[in-house]
Amino acid sequence: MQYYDTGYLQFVFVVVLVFFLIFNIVRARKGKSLFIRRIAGLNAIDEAVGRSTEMGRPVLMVPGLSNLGPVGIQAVNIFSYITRKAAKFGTPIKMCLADAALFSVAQEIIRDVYQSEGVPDQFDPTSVRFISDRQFAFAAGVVGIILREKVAACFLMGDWYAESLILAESANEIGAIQVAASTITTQTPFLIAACDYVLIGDEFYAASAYLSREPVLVGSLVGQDWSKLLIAAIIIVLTVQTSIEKAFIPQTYQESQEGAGKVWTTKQIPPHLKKKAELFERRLFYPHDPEALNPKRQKLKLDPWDKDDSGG
Amino acid sequence: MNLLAQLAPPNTFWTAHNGSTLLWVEIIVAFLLGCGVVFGLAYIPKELRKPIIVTATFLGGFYFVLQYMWPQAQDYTKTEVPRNSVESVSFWLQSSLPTVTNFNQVLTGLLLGLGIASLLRVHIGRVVKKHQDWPYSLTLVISMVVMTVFGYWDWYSKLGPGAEKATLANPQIFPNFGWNFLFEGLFINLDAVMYSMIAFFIFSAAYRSFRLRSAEATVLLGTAVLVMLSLMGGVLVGWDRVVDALGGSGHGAVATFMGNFRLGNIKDWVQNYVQSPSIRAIEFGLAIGLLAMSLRLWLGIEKGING
Amino acid sequence: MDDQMDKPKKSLGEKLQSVSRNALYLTLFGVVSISLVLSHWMGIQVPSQPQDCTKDAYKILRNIPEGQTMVIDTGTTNASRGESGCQMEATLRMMMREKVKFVLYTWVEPQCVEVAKSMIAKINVERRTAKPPQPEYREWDDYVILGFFPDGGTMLQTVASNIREAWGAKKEKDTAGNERGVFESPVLQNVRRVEDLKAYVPISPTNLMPTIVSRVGRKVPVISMCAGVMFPEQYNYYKSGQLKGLLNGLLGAVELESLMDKGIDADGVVGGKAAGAPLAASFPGQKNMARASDYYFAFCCAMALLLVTILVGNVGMMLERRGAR
Repeated sequence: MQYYDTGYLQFVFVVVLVFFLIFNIVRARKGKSLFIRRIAGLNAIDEAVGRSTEMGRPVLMVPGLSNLGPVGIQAVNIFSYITRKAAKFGTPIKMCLADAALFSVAQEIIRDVYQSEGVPDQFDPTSVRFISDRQFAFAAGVVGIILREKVAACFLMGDWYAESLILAESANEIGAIQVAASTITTQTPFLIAACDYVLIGDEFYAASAYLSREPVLVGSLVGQDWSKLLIAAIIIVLTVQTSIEKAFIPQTYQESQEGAGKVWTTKQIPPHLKKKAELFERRLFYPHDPEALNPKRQKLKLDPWDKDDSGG
Repeated sequence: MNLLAQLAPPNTFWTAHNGSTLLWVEIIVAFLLGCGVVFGLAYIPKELRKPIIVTATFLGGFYFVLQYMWPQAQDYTKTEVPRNSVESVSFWLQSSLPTVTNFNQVLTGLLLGLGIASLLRVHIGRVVKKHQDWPYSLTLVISMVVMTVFGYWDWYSKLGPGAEKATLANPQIFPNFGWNFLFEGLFINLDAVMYSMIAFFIFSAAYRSFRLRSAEATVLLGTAVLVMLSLMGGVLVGWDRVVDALGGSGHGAVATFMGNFRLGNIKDWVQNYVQSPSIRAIEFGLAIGLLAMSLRLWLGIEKGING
Repeated sequence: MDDQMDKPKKSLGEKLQSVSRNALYLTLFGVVSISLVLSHWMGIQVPSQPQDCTKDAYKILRNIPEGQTMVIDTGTTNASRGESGCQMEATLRMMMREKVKFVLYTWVEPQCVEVAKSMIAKINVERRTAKPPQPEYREWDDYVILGFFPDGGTMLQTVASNIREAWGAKKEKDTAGNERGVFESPVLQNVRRVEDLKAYVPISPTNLMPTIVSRVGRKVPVISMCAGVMFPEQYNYYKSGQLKGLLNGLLGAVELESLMDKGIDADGVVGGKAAGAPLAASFPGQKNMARASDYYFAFCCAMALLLVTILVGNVGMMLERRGAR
């Protein structure tokens, strides 16, 4: 029940985002054509699979430490597309997983891909493997597979933590072409340094829409863009509003005179001396801020961690 | 208002007492229902499968959405009675959470068993058929078995029947010694070794990739070098002393202007005005992408790339 | 011999750009090992300038009143002892000196609790052998260890709304050896709501912050002690005010030790002597510069080597380009 702290604005905001997503899904289903920009990493998939076929070496796909959730499912969706390409050319694949639940799902999805391509005999059940749920045992196992099998193409997509660089560098050592994506922002620089193509941020989530052009997925992607535009608009509007407020709009409050009973006088604080809690944008997002609820601005004993930031 | 009802914690659906009739009824009904569902699912017509899956997914997701969105009663005790319908739902949701979390853990345990079975099948197959690199597979199988045996043996000696006769401080107990040797001596330190290897990989990756190939790469490298220098305390203090010497002491215009070139200030500027906004922007995108993907999965409209 | 003559010789630029991995790794290993040994033997102390986020963390932790309770959410394993281990040690040392009670648990992996126990034991030995000797910290009276929670996010959600429900089932052995509920211990007996805790300190190299901040961030001051690689992401939470303090990996631990040694005076200057009560006092005459400061010299040497290596690669590239023209 987080909105006790942020007020109903958080709930309303999420409902608006959900509305954008569903509205655009419906719009896309009606046949409206929607544009998606080029994503280099996804264009490189065909090149990578082709290279593996020429060299006669397997394609490796690793969804990192993703569990059975949106990130893991998205990673397996992309891998099913890659597997379809590999199945067409008869290129062997290897998929290494760190989550047992995702492993069961992935094995069935990959089996279905081979069946739908009409080559069920090509599917090797041992090509989709559960390695370990321990981070570094998983990394050690996958590095062993990379170096022994001498994979030609490596797809590292999903939730990556410290093990990302170990795998990426090991694959780089043997000259494999690498396409990576991490939902953990701090791992992206490591992947950029070691991999050939990297999907940054929500390009990972855009991949399924980009590769399939399925109306539901493309509509959802446009809905995401509308949500980001809304956030950007809110940031710009509130930045301007706060700047104006701190420059021109004083804070009015009432104070009782000491020793004079209940006599209230109205006082004003100059705009540039307003506290953070007295700004409109703060009250909008943190309506239960104790400072903000105090219209009578008394000398409150601040907690040690509160900076007296009258300068904002 | 029945004050006596507040003396004992209520025997609810989620918090049925150990040994109570309600708990036994729940166990038997859940078992029969579970068996019915497992066998029933195998015989349902194909056209009903997707609606059932979508409905089950929706209900499961709806529970967690409700957990997050419904007003939670704060700091209530087990003996309190809800005052209105909102609090009734809140009490029900909060008391169900530990049980639902346990469902998750049981499922995870079962699926882990599946994963281990697959692992053993693959590697035992390789050993039996003497595939290439079969010694590695044999090592894995032996390690798994040995670790499991010592793990349970150590647990049994400490916590199983008769454990009060054993003492933890007694190094003569073989299973305890074996477990400590394998887990704390070998496994944990191997974990640390793998983590430490990252330093070497960062080194070779940085050497290979930080090159002045373009204008953007130059800006990136320059910024990275400044940030790395600021992490080195000696350089940071030395640089700032040089800048202070050039600018002079006090709060004059020159000193204030030169203060902008202190390494700490440069690093703070990069952190506050370049790095943080970029990370925030990426995080916004990721969060919205996650919301969209979660929504599609919850509503059962996720198509996947293959339809 | 003809083959050898036909093979074109590598230019200096090409050689500088293609230093073998083995040579790089050996150099790094040598530099770090030698600097680590030298730093320990010669007691080399590299100066540091604490950042604002570290100072804020120190101010909060240093001003927790004696006898109050705070929480340490540990994710420190043996693997992350270089960063999280140093942060944990400095924090434990500080809490024990201030006679602040703490609750310790993990939702990363069970190993973290064992690492924490051995750290507490080590600091107890230090306290016992100090001059004058200080009393050891005892489990049950001064701290409780709640153990491993497999589903930490759900546990934190319950902590935020009803802490006694979240931890009520946990039991610990009291000083007489009897198992009792943790809320009967002196550490938690006065804690009725999560707001009664004076600080929540996650010390972990993993990314727990979104969950922690959204669950308990507004109710109790959260001070994150993260690995260096997680710092850029968590810095945003600090700038927005959701985190009240933040430590940046090994550097943060060094800064914390430095603040323990010098303190922050009334004007906010580290090591200053301004009149008035200091914002955060130091611990004069006690061992403050510990493990983090030992490691810092090796860290700086590794950074310097990295910069030199990048320079070598770029010089090689420029020489090759000039030669090609």
